[in-house]
Amino acid sequence: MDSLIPALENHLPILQVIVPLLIAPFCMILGSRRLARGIMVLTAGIMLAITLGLASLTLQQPVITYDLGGWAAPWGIEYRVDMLTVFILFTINLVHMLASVFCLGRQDGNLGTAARPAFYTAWLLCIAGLNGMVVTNDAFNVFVFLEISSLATYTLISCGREPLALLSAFRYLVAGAVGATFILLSIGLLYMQTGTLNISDLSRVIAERGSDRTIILALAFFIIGVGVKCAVFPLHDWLPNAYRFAPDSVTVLLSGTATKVALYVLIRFLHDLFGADFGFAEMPLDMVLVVTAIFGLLLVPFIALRESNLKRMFAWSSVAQVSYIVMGIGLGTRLGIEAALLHLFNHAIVKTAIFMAVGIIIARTGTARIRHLGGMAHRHRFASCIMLFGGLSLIGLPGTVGFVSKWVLVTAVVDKGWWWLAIPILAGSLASAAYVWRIVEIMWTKPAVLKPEAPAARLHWVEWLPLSVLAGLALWFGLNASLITGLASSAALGLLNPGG
Amino acid sequence: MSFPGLLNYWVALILLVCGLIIVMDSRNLVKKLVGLGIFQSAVFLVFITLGKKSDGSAPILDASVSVYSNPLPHVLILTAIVVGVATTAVGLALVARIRRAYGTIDEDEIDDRPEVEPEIVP
Repeated sequence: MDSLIPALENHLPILQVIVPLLIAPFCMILGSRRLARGIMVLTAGIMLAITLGLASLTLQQPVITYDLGGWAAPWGIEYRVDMLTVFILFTINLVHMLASVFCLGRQDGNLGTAARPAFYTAWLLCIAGLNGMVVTNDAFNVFVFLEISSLATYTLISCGREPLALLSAFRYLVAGAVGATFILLSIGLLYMQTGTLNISDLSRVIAERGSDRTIILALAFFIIGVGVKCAVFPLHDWLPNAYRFAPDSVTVLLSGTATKVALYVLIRFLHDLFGADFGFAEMPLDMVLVVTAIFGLLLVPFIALRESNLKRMFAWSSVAQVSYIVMGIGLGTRLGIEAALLHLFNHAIVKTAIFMAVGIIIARTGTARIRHLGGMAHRHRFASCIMLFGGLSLIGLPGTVGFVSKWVLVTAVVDKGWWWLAIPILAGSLASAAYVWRIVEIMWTKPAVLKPEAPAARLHWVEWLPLSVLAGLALWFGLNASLITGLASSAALGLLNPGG
Repeated sequence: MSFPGLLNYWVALILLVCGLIIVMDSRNLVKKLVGLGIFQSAVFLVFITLGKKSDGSAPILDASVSVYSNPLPHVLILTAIVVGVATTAVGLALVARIRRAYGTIDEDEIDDRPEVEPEIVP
């Protein structure tokens, strides 16, 4: 045992990916739903433990590299773990752990006839692909893992109870496949000019030889392709319906992981691969990203305000929140990335909690129509209070996590000298206050529309436990922001000065 | 630059645009997948072309072979083809279930139906 742990320690980067990938088929082979669920939660726990192990290693040594199969870096596939990687790994594996526990709940109002064991296989493949995209330092590997997670995601979404889940999954499949193929084309063009696929090597070669039209084209294809996956404002079309019709537990998982990893890939490629000098000084990428973000965070809340379905309303809100993250990335400065990372973490936690609360209410009432929600706050106090707390954080009220990241974002735009950007940020917050207030008004003050459910459905521990953990984290980070701000800041610093 | 020159890239460009137009324009779900296939093949063609050297042979260690093509892009495309097949398979499976649920695979006909939501009578 004593010799096993140091031996495993060297292989942690690959274990992060290979554990869920190898375990996934067993959920299906064993053929028992009960076993599959147990395996899923156990795997989620192991993955979170591996992430914590990696985190403790990065404290001693800022960059860990791992050569797959012992082939040295520019030729073989290299996995690379630094502060930024650990930050994202922690976010998604924490969300995955809690979402897995939530998924155990007997009542998933939106999951079709009792989930088959294969559902859990797709679930594990999805998270394996996402983890792979984060740890790998090989551009083509990013594409492969992107497709592994995407294909699993389409399957998960199509498990929704209503037939429109199928059409939403299909539309996401078409949009996602076009986006991924754009990324593939971008990688091909990069390989054509540089002859390498390793991200660190690519960044070195591009910095040495300078850019040309082919690399500009590669950048353009990459931004469009990854923009679809992030659901950046004009490319967000697939997201609202995919979140709305997916089973509740799948929405919980996706909202906290899938778009977040795509945003990570955007940050990693822009700063590590293409290099900030090329993207932000030579190309007007800051303008492109910031302008789309402004449109996203000003227009989308109004769509959310007119939405009749609770789940889709919060999905629209996700599109708006992604805009804040994109704005942070678009600034291209250290503070901007710090704000983007903070908002990414905060939004992952808060939106996961909100979708869990929504899921609990849908499971009890059988409806997600906003006009059916009258008086629900008095029947489902816990879930409603969490939803309110999450809503306040979406607005960015002081004392919530949302305030911390928006504050850093405003500091970042002022620091860059674009102080006028603070106006759309504040206006976007006010607009989100409008749709959150609409829900609060209906749930707390309007008379009940639905008859109370016959037996008062008690909260199961798998429902209140993950929700309490998320709410606790959100509260703690909101009041005591120094820890998470410090982590985001050192992750941003590690990205901009590798090795330093 | 002699005859073939950039021909492959022009063909890839035309296929890329054709595929994208079919994906966006057709309302039939199967035709959308066909467009997606054409679109993906165009990108595969780009990869295959960039690995090929004129008069290059297969990369075999042999005294008679001095110019050979780069095998790496070809291997990458093998992976990408597998991914493309998997995407098409999942897409077709979804279309089959959509047809079972709606009796049609035309997007317009499906969109025309009012969204039925499980109602609870108060």
